[in-house]
Amino acid sequence: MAEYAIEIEKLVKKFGDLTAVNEISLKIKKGEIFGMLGPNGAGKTTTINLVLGLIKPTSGKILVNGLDIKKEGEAIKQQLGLMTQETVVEGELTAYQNLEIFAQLYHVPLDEQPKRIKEALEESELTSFANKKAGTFSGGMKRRLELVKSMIQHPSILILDEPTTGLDIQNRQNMWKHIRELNKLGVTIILTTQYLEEADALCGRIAIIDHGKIKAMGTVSELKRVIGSGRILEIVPEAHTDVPAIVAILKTAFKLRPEVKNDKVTAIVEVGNEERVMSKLLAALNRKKIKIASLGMHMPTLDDVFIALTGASTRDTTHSDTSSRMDSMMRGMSGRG
Amino acid sequence: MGLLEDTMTLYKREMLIFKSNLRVNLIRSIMFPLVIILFFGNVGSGIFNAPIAVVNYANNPQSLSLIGALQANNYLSIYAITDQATALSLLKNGKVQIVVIILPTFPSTTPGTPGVQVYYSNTQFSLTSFALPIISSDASRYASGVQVVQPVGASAPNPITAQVESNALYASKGSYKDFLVGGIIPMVVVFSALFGGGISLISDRQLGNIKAFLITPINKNAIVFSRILAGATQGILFAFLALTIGLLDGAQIAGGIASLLYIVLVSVLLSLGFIAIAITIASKIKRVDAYAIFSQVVGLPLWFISGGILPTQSLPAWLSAVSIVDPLTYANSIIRAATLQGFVDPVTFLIDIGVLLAFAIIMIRLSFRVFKSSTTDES
Ligand SMILES: Nc1ncnc2c1ncn2[C@@H]1O[C@H](COP(=O)(O)OP(=O)(O)OP(=O)(O)O)[C@@H](O)[C@H]1O
Ligand SMILES: [Mg+2]
Repeated sequence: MAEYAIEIEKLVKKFGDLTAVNEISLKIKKGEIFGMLGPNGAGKTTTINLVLGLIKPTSGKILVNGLDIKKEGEAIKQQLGLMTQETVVEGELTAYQNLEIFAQLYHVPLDEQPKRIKEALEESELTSFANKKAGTFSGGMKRRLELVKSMIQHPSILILDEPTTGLDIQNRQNMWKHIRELNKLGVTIILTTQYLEEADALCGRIAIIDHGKIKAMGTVSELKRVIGSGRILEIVPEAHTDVPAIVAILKTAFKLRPEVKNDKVTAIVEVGNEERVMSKLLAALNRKKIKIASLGMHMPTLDDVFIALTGASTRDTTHSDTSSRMDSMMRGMSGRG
Repeated sequence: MGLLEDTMTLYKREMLIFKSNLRVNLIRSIMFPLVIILFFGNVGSGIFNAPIAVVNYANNPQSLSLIGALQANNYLSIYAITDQATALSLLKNGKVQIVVIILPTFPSTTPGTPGVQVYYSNTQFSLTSFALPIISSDASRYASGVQVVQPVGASAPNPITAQVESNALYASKGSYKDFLVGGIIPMVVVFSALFGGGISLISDRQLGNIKAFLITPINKNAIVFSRILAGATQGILFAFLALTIGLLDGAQIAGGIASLLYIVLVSVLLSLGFIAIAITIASKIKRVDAYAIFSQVVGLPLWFISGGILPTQSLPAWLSAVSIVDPLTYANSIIRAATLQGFVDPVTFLIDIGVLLAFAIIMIRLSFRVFKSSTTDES
């Protein structure tokens, strides 16, 4: 038996001029919950489609449970489950029919199908909705149905592409619970997400992907060390127009490298320097008559790692969607309709 | 057998979805034939009551008998006029649609020497296109050439001399409504195939359903095959609904059960071929609206030139030539013979069915290939 669930070696995928996946290499151990974190267009879905054999790599190699997908594509399909980024339960069909069709497409033996479907309905807490059309379900119910649908063939690896995008707090935590339970049963889980909080809460290891490249990979605490031993300074001015002035002060007077996300300016400050920086900064801001809504210093979070690695400040102008989606996620609202 | 099982699973899915949207599907596919049958089928009798001036220069028993035959026809109103000049002025003033001059040479048997000259104005295309074959057909019984001069009042008359050919379509007692109902059936089948088959594929791809199927260990051909079968099932259903509407509205079909079998056979082959076309095109077109335009642009002309609404004989020569490559022409040919005559000539049958079968097989193979290649590189 192979040690790794998935091994990816120097994977490249080009769409014309665009290199969507640029020499990605990674190994995912059996039984892991592995997170792929990155902004819109980072190449997460493309990587997943490559693993699933839906598109052909420009170059590189992919092994699933030790089997080369180029040669053993068909055998691998039974071992992979996918919950896609878009919810694809069929609205015109009942929950039962949705599950039945996929049980049949995965060639689950006929006499075993009713049992599998029954279990799936129980797991997704949809037993009493079995004969209701999925189109009438709430977003959370649809996602639960999709999760059990993608597990109907009992795969050893489950790929979740942005499993909680668009869900409210309660449904998200419910989904997390389900994912952890599946993992406890021995299912290797690979999930993509734009939500740092999600990666933080679920994943043993995380790869931060941007522009088709892995920027960093490791456990959450390893990644936090990327920031070094520093603390994160965070300033939000009352007036948005003061942001450039604050950036200028931090650069010139303090020799820091500030990042801007929405109205928030952050910068890494070395340990030991915090108090001195803080008092000098307050004085400087006072002199320039800049009013501050909040000012703080905290231990690095994954969010800070992400900003430091993907340069969310510059991305905000081109991918304004990313930050607003992450923010709304933090507030526990649905980010995508 | 993987392909068969997978196909049946997906066929069941297609039909469940169809059933769940039954009302919308029925309305969509029935509105058009309903309007056409109820409207054209019923105004038809008025359209074809063509006022015709006849000038008899032959004055022999055969010419009188020809006039009698024309008068007996329900679709023509005959006015006897004494001289050509008066008749042509009536034509110019729009009082009559057609002038028939029975020349002294009538009945003529010499090629190139017409026995009958016909003038018509081109203001009422549909009318003359129906009346002319009737006149030709009647005159042909006297082995007389008909010279058609068209159109009067426009540029210089351009006489076309043609030997008379008999037109069996209108020699029978079939009403236009009977004719139209037969022609509606292939149209309904083709439209439901082009529209249903393509739109559902594009939206399934947009919704991610195709991707969900492709990651399962099924035979990819099952995705196409199930759609083709489901489309054919729906096509037959629509064909019968259209036929029922026509029958309820008073149309008659000759041939009884045998005719129904011909209709089923033709509808199945036509559906198979056109859904395959729909799948082929929808594999290439990513947008529903663009596809909808395609289906209209292709479907309507194919129907018009196939003899669905007008007999192919009434088409201009070049369109008539195009109709040879239109599969609908062969479908119409069988259905017309079955519903109007009550029997299909075995040779015609073999040719028409052969063409339809070849068409279906070629298109299905093409759709498998194009769909497969469209799935190897898409997200
Ligand atoms: N079939 C395709 N043809 C051309 N370009 C594509 C195709 N699929 C993806 N891309 C491009 O590749 C890049 C990576 O896309 P991908 O969908 O993998 O991003 P992602 O990380 O999943 O983003 P998101 O969070 O928006 O889902 C994007 O720039 C996208 O436009
Ligand atoms: Mg994606």
